[in-house]
Amino acid sequence: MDRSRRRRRPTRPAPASADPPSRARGGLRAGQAGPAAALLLLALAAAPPAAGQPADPPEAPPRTPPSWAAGLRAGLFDMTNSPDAYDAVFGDPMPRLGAQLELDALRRWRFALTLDYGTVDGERVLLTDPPRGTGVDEELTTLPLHLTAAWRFRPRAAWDPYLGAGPSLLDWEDESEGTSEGGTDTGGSVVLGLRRQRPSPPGVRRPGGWEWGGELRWSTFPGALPDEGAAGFFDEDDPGGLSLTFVALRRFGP
Amino acid sequence: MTSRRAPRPAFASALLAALLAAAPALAAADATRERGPRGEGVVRPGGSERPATAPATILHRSPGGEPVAELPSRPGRRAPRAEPVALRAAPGRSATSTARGHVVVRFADGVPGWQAEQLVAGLGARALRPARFGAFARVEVAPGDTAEALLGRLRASRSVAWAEADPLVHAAYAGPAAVRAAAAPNDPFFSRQWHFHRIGLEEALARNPSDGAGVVVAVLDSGVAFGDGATFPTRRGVDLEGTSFLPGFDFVDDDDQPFDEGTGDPGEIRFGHGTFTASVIAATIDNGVAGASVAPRVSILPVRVLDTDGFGTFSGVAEGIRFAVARGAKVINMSLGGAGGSSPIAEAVADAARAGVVLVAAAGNEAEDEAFGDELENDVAFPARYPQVLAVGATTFDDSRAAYSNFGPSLDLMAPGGGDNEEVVPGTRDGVLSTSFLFDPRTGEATYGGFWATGTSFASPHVAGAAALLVTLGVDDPAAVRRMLEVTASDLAAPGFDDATAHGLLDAAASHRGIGFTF
Repeated sequence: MDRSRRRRRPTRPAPASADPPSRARGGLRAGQAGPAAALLLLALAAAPPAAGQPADPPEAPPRTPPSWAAGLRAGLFDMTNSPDAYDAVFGDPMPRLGAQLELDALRRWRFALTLDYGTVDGERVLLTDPPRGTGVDEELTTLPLHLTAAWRFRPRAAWDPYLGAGPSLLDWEDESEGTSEGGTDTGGSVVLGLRRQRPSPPGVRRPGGWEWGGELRWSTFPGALPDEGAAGFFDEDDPGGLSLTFVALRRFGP
Repeated sequence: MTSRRAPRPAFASALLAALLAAAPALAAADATRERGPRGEGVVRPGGSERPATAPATILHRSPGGEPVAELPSRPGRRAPRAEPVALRAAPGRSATSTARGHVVVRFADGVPGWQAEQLVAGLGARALRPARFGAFARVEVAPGDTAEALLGRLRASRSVAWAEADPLVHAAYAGPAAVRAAAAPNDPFFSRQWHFHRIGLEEALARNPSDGAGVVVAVLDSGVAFGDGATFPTRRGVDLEGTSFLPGFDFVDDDDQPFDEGTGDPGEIRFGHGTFTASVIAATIDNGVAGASVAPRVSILPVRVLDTDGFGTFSGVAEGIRFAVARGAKVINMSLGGAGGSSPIAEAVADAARAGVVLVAAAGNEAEDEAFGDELENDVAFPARYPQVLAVGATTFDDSRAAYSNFGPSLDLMAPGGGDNEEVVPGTRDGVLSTSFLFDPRTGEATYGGFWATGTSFASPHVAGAAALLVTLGVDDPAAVRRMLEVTASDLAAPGFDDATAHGLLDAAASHRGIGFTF
């Protein structure tokens, strides 16, 4: 191999405390033995452990300070937990808009509070096969509130996937021609998301700025729907399901 | 009625006679799981034994011995003010389940006819008469024997799958006496048929231009006045001229002439119970005669299972159900009921439901009587009590449960059946207004016209007709029909389901508006 073409890797200056002091090169001249011996004794007294003993552990990277963010959400929800009843009356996925507040802390944890508002129109049906609309309008409105604790897989990278879960609260109302049914029910959700963010070195506070991403969330509210109407006919009582949401947030310092 | 048949001298000739009598019906019947006689008398196994139960033998709630209606040919005789009468058995009948002198039997699988014959003869029973529709046979109790003793001996045989009494059913006509409606020449009845307005019939028919066309509704009752003869009982009812009828069957007289001979106390004036029921469902409309009906363009299949006393048997009703299914009925109305139920009718109901038939039955009228607690165990009568059957209670003019109307956990829906049949507003009574006849067996005179009558008997056909209308919209599944009617009913009394008024008052209009996501 032609040595002239070898790539040379640039050397990094070692931190002052990183490396043990290197021994001076070269030998002692005659006549300098006494002072040299004294110096040697002093040097030995101050010398670091000899080779073979373990070096001091490298210093841990500084913790990234917590930060918080707020933003908006937009997405689609499909009531996959009660598909037959929902499809019979409404059919189309429900669009949702919402807001999000989150706190990134403890290096890899994200705590988020999200509130969405969604509404979808449909019509009352006859229980034919398939169900047939009667032209009598119906509207379903939902207001889910999710509290999520998520684990971030790459907190300092530009793309940061996360996985989380947490409790949820759902307020819903089903209305048609003066007849309405509704409730506020508890449940839970699981979320898988991906965030595009500004990367940051360890110990460096991530600079404020915009972030965006998407998440897929599955929610469940068992027993929330009454045993009436299409829900009762198809024996489906959970108004939860899958939602796909786009998120845009502004990050602020702690 | 089996009790009216002459004793048969020998089994073989009796069986042959029965087969010959049944041949026309058998030849015309569609192939079903439950064919009639198999020649050798073998019946299919199945079912489970049920203890013998006493029937509820409630009669019309009218004073005995008095005219039950104002007859135009006898001016001055006015309809009496009816008072509740004490529970009593029909004259000539015992209050036991074997009032008709027979029991029903299903023999074990593989038992040949000759063995069944030997068994029956060896037990001292009188005859073995296979059902025309249904996998069971009727065994008559010999003179001097009792049904209970015969049942015990039958059940002790390994060749018998089950043996049980054959409880009675009766028309669910509450009375008081049917009151002849005085129709003004230019005043169609519809304006006074408050019960149709109460269920939103006009809107339902406006949303459903078919009016029920193409749907067959079987009326298991005392027959229907649907004939084309000139005299009673073959004459057609006054507002049934344009109504479509299919050939039915008479399981009381075992012939194909299910004409309504009326029901009433023996020797007393009879009321056309089945004709009135059929008129509520499908009286001809827009003909300038009398009033309207719920589903005027359905085809009525008359099936006579009640005799002139207003009584029948569960086994007869079971055969009637199977006949109706074989004839293509999509809805079966049973304005009758009794206590205890039986295996034949339980199986017939289950099979009919599996075949996609909507079954509707009256809840019964015993709520004010001792029988309600003692024999009906504070619930509706059978067959309404079966889970596959829509049990219908009666409401009054002010939308409250009629005092006589049975209630309980098996009640499903309410419909107008009238209260005390008294006048609530001029020209309108707290009863159901439709058309039928009165027949006086003493004079042979029959009077056709409009009448006010009350009972869960006449609440049930409101629901049967509404079900038929839904079927024409494509709601084909009986469970879906039930759900549509129950969810869209107008809640009465306590919010939600309650034993007194179930899911509420039938709302035909709302059922046509459809159901929602959660209501």
